[in-house]
Amino acid sequence: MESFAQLIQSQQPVLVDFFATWCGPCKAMEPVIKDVAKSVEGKVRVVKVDIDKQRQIASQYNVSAVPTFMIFKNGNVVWRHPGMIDKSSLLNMLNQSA
Amino acid sequence: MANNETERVHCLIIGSGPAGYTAAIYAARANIKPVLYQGIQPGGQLTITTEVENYPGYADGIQGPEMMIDFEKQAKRMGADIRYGLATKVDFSGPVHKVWIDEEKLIEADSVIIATGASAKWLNIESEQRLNGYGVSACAVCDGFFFRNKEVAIVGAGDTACEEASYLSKLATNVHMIVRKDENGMRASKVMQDRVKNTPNIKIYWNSETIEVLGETRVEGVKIKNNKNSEEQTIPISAFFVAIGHQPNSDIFKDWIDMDEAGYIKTVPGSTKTNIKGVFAAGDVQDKTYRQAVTAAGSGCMAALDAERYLGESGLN
Repeated sequence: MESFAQLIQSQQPVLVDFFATWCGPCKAMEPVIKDVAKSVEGKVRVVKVDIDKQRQIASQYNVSAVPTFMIFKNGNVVWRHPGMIDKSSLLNMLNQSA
Repeated sequence: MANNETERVHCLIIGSGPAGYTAAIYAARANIKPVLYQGIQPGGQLTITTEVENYPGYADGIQGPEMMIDFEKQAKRMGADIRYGLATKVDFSGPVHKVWIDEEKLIEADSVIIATGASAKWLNIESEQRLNGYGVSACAVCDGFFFRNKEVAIVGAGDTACEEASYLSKLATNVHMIVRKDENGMRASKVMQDRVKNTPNIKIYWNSETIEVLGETRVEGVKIKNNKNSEEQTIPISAFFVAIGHQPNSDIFKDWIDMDEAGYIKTVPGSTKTNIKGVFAAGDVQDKTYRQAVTAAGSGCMAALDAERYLGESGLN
């Protein structure tokens, strides 16, 4: 299986959703993220990181809020947003990063 | 965006807190076929709270997020069409009310119920914005977990601030609570004030203003100033929580709907009517006085009944 470190090296943008199972706003964002993933299919990869299971990744990127969204490109964080976000802002950011 | 889909609906409800869902329950039962858009935070402010002890009917109390799932289920069971999506623009110039969803879909509604609620206010200082997500947070219940066994601070003096301070006191070593006024000026209810004052690891700093949140890449401290004697001090902390109140989510309506200077929508007393025929407002977006789940639910019910009557009188049902 591809590791997180490998996955974010991609030239295509990768949207990462750092979430927790116990976090209400994260749950609320689920359908939004699914919908976003569908509309950027083939152009952007969307992955979810459970901060309780992947503690190391979460602490490596200094995640101290859930949800936190990040866009990676060539291994670098190009955008970061703590907390909830609406669909069109997220799509705008992804289009800008593509 | 290329998608220019238009849909005609009878009753559009914007928002998914107690006001929105209660309006949906009543509107569905009245058979005015409500369509509800949940907005950026499905379930509303209660999804970032812990225990709700004062909503009648839940004799043993209930977790805020669970309560909102119950509200949603009940609205769905009545037949309301619940969708996610955010209203981004409106045009209330004609008899048919236009509302754009996520900048891509246009809803043309005979009646609109605005139940967009309120969201947390920030101090609006540079360091707070810069460190947001790096230890600065407006949601203790979401982010307190990251600061177990650490020192944290919270600014605010209302019920929300007290609730969050008491939640944080169970996780953090110490909670430093920054209150602008003195002991007699605290806004919170007596019961919440007592809870905070009687928690050994909550330390209250009266008459104190936040000057700056300190830290380069993450929160390391906060500088505060006593507004009586101008003494400054720095408290070393790992997280800074903001709980200084709320502002109504009414921005997209401001060109059309009458509001007060703080942005609260004005309604005709004793009703949920706004200045635009067929547009009603319920819940925190029009209530700066009570702001309770149960009062929001009550006004949501009123809005549905007002909308039903309006549609009947206009021959639209």
